Amino acid sequence: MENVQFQVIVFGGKVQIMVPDGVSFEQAEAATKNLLAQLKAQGIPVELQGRVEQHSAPGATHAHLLNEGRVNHDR
Amino acid sequence: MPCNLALSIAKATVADEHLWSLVEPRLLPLVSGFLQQTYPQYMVQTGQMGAIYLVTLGPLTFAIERGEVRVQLSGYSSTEEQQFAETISSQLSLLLEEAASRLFQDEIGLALGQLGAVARKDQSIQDEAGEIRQAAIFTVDLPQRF
Repeated sequence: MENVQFQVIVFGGKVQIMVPDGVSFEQAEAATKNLLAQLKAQGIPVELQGRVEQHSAPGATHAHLLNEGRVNHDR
Repeated sequence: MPCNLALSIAKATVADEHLWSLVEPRLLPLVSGFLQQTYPQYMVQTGQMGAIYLVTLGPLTFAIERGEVRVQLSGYSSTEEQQFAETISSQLSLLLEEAASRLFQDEIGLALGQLGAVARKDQSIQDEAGEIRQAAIFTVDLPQRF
């Protein structure tokens, strides 16, 4: 079965979950929600803020997070 | 992963109560250790009244409740004493904030480790207020239907 690689950035009480290109957005969204559910199941009451956002894809609008922590950011 | 390579991004948070629940069992050793190391010229005493933790440093008493630090000063405190108290109060608030962040990072790391192989890297990032914060960056590979 194909794996999904997550990058999970944690600071303060915030968790940012990124999934790289290589799977469809629908797969990334489902996997992200599943990951959050797994964390909750382990007793960590993380709550998704808003929705899983599509960040970059060929031809897609670059939906960017404003006012968030920046890691390895290119601009 | 550079931001521009991410296909999707999700933001999640935990409530302050959860962060406090991580810090509270370690609170008094953490605070007293910090004060003893930083201000060795003063005696440090700790106590508890219900949900309020009390820390006395020389002539100053600090009350800590659910992560909030309050200083208790007599009405006759000098300006220098008030400034000193405010400085320590800020230091304690930062200490608790950083401890909560670190403990939460460890908690997430352990939880991810239950799901698959995890690599961790600690890195400074700039938060929304422009402050430099220590972030933990975990990389984890999981089956699509784990």
